[in-house]
Amino acid sequence: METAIVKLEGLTKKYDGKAVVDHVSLEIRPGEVFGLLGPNGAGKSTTMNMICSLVKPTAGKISLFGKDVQTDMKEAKARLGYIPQELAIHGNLKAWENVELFTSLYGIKGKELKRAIDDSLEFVGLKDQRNVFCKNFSGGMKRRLNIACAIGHHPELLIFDEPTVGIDPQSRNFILEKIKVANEQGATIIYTSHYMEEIEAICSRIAIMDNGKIIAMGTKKELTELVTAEADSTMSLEEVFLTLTGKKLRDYAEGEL
Amino acid sequence: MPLILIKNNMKLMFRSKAFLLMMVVMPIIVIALLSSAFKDMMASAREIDPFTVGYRIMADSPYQTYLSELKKASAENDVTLTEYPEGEIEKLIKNGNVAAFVDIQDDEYILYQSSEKKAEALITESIFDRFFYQVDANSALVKAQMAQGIIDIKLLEPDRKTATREVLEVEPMPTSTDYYGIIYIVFWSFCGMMPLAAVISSERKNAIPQRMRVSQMTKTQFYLAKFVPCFLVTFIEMGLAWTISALLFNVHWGQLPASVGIILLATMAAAAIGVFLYQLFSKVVVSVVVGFFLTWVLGFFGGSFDPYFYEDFPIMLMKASPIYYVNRTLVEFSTKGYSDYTGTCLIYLIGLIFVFGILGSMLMNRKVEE
Repeated sequence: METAIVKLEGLTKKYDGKAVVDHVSLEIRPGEVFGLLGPNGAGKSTTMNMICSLVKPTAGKISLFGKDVQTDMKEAKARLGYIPQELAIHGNLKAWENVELFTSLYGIKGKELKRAIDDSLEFVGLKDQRNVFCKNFSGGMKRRLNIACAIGHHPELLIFDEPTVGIDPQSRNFILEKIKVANEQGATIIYTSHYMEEIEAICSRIAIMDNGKIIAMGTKKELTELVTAEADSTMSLEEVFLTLTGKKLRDYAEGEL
Repeated sequence: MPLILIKNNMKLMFRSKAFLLMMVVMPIIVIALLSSAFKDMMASAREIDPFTVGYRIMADSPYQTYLSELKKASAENDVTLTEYPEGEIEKLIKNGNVAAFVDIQDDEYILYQSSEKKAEALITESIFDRFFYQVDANSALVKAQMAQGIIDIKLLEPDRKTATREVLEVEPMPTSTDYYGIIYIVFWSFCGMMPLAAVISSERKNAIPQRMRVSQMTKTQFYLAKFVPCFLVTFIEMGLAWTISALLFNVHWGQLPASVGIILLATMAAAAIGVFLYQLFSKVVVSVVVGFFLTWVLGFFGGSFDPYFYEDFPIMLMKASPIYYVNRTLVEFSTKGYSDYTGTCLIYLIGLIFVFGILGSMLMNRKVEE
């Protein structure tokens, strides 16, 4: 069996004594598109942030590419691409300048950097807009550029934290298609989203989080089997999700998580 | 060194029209306004019109012999000596007949002055002091030689060339254009944290710090990526304002390479303080307000608004301001060609860069770890 690219063991994060991620353990294998699904405040983004070393865990262990991130994160960072939920681009820089800036942070320079800029912009369909200031981009274009800025150094693991929030269906479809392409080209993907159909469309394996815990994990078929005994069920992922997490509203004030 | 990040941060700063306007156009406007507004005030301190000094001398005073030479020496300094054998000295001064009055007695003289004509009295005292010092010195020399029988000659005539060469020990005054042309480049150099706001606000508005922390950048690179573009952009903007103001208003800078070096250090100190303040406060606007207020206070005590040679603040307060040392050094470079304050100025600026560099870096590291 191949070594897991991501391995979480008893991962816990507490704020003011309250666990927002509670003993999460999972393994993500090379080539997978792993979906992390959960209602607001389930702990998805905190888990992503801990994997990226943006947040220190209270307890537990994270291994990336077989190495403990607490002691050996430098090498893992070079193999990791992170697309945050919020846009992480400068409005007053042109598209190519943004890609240049973030790709150069990985030590890429010279001709290799120029090629990386061209490839990244082409990948997200913004090659013709390379000299346009990002503040003039539409929401969908900004989201695509947000992705281009994370792939210039050819990461083996791409972490997408709700990358399609607030964009039109065409842009969403384009992004999902490109995530599939990236996966076909060899990248392992971790994808979090509220949109069930997105997860259903691209993810090979799904974990459902609620109240900081993973309450179910498996392929869509395996998750369906957890909630129904019917052999040929046509239940959507949304129905499975609501059955597992309940229909109670999840409202959280800012700063609670 | 994260060169591409530095380059792009510089682009962000240069593309902010508001900051470009503030750092290049504003100093030029302020220099033009203030140098013109205070032209007369500064000129009055530089130039004194010819004036008359009254004198009275005892009939048997040994200095009677030298009066004609003294009058010539005074005239060469635009001072007219007029004898008033009688009359009340106080009235003569109060009525404006004379700017000062000298009562020459047997072996001393008394100088009368009014509070309105202090500068004239100082010049008079300087002329008399130098003149009589040289006369007395010559007399003493001749007397000593005669006593020893070395030579038998009459008292030497005073050496007029030496006696009339007055070197007044006062600080030369800059013109208002030179003064304000220099100190407002200094003041704006200390406002060097402002352009960095364009980068910090753009980063914080978006999730850029998160993305950077996922990259392979080290903590030192994080710091340099803010500090280096901040001082470089300020220095370039100051260079532009400096060149334009020097060409437009004919501002005289002395010791150009040294002046450039000091302005560079001033922008580095301002950048170090700026990065520290941006780390200290989470809101950019709070950092900018605190930074500007701090610079304003340092400028207030350092001679940025009222020339430091007219200020009445306790000297301790003035010396607490780094702007005072930078102003004084650069103004003296312009008026004298050198400054005794250069060493202190350099130590102060390097100290600021060092201390705030360490503090800013520590705060930045702490935030990264949080």
